[in-house]
Amino acid sequence: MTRQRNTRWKVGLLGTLALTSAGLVYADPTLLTAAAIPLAYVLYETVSRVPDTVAFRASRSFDPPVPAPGEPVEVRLTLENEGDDALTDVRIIDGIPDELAVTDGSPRTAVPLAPGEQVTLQYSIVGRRGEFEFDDPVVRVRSLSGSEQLTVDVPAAGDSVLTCAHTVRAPGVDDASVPLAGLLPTSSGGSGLEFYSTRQYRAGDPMKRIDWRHFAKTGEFVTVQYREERAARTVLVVDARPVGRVTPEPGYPTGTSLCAYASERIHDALDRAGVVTSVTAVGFEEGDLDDLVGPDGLPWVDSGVETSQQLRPSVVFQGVQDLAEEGATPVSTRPPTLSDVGSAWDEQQPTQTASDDSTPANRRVAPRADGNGVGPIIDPGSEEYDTDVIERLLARLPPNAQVVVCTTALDNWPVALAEAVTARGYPLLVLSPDVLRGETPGQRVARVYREMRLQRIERMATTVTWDPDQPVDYALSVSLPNLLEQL
Amino acid sequence: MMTNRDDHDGGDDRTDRSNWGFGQRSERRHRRPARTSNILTVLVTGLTIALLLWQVPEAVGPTLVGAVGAVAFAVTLWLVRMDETLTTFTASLLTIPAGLGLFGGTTGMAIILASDVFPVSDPALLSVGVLVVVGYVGVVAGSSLAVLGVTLSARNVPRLVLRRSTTLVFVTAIVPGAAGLAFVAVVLLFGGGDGSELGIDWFLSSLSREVVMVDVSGLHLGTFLFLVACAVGSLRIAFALLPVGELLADSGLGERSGRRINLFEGALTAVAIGAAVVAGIALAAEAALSPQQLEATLGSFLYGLIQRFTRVPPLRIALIAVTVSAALVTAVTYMIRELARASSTDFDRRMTALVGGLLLTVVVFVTADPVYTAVVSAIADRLPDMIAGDFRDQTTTLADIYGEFTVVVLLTAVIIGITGWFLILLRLTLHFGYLSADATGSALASVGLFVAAVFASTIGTSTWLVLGGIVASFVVWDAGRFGTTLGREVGWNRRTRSTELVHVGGTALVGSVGVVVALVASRLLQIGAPAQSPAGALALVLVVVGVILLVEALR
Repeated sequence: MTRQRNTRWKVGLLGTLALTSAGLVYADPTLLTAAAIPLAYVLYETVSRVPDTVAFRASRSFDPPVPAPGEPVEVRLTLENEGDDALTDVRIIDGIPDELAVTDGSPRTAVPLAPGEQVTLQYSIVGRRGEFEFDDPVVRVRSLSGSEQLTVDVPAAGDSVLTCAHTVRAPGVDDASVPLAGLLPTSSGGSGLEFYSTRQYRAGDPMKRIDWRHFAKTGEFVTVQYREERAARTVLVVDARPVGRVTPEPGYPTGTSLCAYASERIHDALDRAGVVTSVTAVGFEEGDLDDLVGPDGLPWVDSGVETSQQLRPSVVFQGVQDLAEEGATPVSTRPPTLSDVGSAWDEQQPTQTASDDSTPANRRVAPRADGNGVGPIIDPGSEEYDTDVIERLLARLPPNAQVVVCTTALDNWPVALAEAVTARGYPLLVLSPDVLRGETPGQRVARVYREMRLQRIERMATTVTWDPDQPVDYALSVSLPNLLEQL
Repeated sequence: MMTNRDDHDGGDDRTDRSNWGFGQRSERRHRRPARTSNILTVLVTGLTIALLLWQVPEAVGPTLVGAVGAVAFAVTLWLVRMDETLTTFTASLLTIPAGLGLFGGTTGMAIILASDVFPVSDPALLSVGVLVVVGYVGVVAGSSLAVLGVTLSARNVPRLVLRRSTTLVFVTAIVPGAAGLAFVAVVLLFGGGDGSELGIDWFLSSLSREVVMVDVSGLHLGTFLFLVACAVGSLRIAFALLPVGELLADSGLGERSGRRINLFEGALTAVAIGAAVVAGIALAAEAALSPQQLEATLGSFLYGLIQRFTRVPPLRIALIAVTVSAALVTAVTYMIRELARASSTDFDRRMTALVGGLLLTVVVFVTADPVYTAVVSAIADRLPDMIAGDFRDQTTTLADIYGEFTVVVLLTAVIIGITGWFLILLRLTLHFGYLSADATGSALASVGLFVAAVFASTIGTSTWLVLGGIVASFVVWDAGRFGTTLGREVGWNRRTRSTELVHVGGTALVGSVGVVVALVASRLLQIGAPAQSPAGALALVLVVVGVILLVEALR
């Protein structure tokens, strides 16, 4: 508790002297007696004080108490004057953690409070992954003249820690699961249980698969084929490169964080559907994630394989989340602009967007080293990183896999990846959280570029756009049937 | 780089609770008074000015002119704050109405009243007439200042904007000023329009007679020392601007060049100041005393020695040459340095202001004749007949010699300069803390209302209006300051109306109590008339001082 006095009404003394002087110079009794007015203000400052005993009671609540990342949370802070005196000027600021942004309402107000009267502050923030502890609200009381002020921290009852859930298993995702445990039918004939087709006998076909009845009728050897059942496999690629570490709005999770969140949800759903899912992420450097990242810069975890605790997919997701938060501290405080996301689409033109600002938020934007026009690629890592990582990914992809890429599509790298993956016959689905919602000219242009990229990917693969204002289940409900259908 | 705290209002809400502010960067953008306080400031100021003008109808016209100037001045600052090419250009054009209004309102009031009051029938009424004129001018100036304050109170005026505005104003004045001076120089060098004796011969002969080839009768120590001071002073300035220190950085003698340069600069400064001081004394002595008296005072030998030394033409020519050369070097060096240092944005701003000044000059060139005629007629019509005739003769002669364009364009530069000087005055008051940087607008409005109310009292305005005006000035000051603090701590657009109304209501109530006390005291004064005797006046002053001391002791 701090109590301060100031002499803001010292101007009254100046006024008194000025009026007295003018009154004497002009021999004007009106001016001379008017000196009583500023003098009254000086007296006013002297007698006006904050009461000696000031008492408040505060309580805070969150709704919902445990939000998902990106979900708005309504905070209500109630402050009651428990003292015996009326307070003419009570200013309140709630102690919001720096990481959280207010999207609606205000955590600050100023009101007069009679004894027993209370005021409620109501505002909205955006949930971010993790735990955030609110400080006690600070209350400042001023005297009526404003010459004395008392500042006090008022402990708030009720909620003080906002916990943002890591993942939420929504019912909608469960509906998309299939009952087959690990083996999924394919659209090709082979060994299996369900009849698929017949074909002409070839030397070497097993005797038990010859249709003897058909031979008895026609005299021709025909081999029965069954629907082939293969172990389904999905490779989940999380784009954690620095280009995605930007926020749609201040206080929101970064694009990389949203990618990791959506990937984790997809992984959980596929895992429950019995699909063998491998998880990898681009944007790491060798030695990251406790050496889970190999020399090729790719962490690789197969969910269907018994592994140690360290090699669980959750470690990769957690690593991406940490990377999104830690590496993006200077960047995530700023909505993406054209300089972040590249400005050139023309394949033949190397991208030239560059900034003279050396801050991380304006990182260097370089053209692709191979010159094939996939657009701006952003450090860290060498310029060849983005080119090589596609080759490394392709080298790691199992032959029967389908690929799911979670990316913000803020540069042309996903397009290059999609071209390379689909050219090799892998089914591909791209899920992209939309982090371009600003109305600045730069962001509008960037949004157009992103849409063009996604349109281009859509010619080769399935694309699903996720608006972070909506729960991720909407995006998953679109993407999961596609995934399971393609298997 | 801007952070989201700057871009997003919501982001500000969670910052910097420790000092109840929005952080240094955001503070510049968000220092706006709370809405209700701002509205109250505007309403109270407007109402008070309206009542004052209702009581002093003679001041309506000049106050409107001043108000237009004040609004133009405020708009100029807003446009400069936007920092776009078009807004900078428009701001450079608005310097004319701003300066004209700020200067014209009070000047017009003075001229109008002077024409009404003077000449006085009795010399004893001269001082009364002057006081009346001062009173009306004070009302106009105060009201104009209050309007300016109100227009500025909507947003805080950052010092950066004031600095940029000052630069813009003076750069705008360059083209008309240079054009006017060039025309004056042409007239001086090549003769005036009426074929008078002005011309290059007259100029050079005058220069030679007064400065170089001085006559043998006088001592001429003053002019000589003045030339010395000019030469040494210009050398000192050129030396400071030139990269001498960098060139002498490696002397190879083991001696630090910086110390030698400092010594040399110090010596030049001392010589220049000493020569200027002694020149002033010598000029005063030469003006006061005849050569004979000077010779008698100094003695024949010393007088002859000084005279022989100070009259040598080559020495004087050398001093003039040094002065001119050093001034040229200084000007060129300064321009090169400014060009090298200026950012492209600064360069663009200055070029835009120059273009604005050029446009104003062209407009003046086209409209000089009718404008000159109209201005002269308007002023002369308001002047007393005996002065008006002389005024018309003088202005006609002036126009014959220099031309209407020269006079009007120089007047334009002066008017723009008035805006610049007003800006400098504003910056100085802010710099020395006479005005609050947080609530400049409301402070100006308050001072304006106070001045207007005080001067309104001197011209016989109603007591209730004077007292009400003084209360209004304090209410405006308090509301502006309170609103600014509230805006910084809570936000300018939050729901804080009840707090603001309670606070301002308290201030108004205290002022009302003061008014009642003042009225009672005024009635007592009228009954007892203690101020009509010196002892009574002294007692009254002592009472006021005693009350002030008592209040201070209580605090």
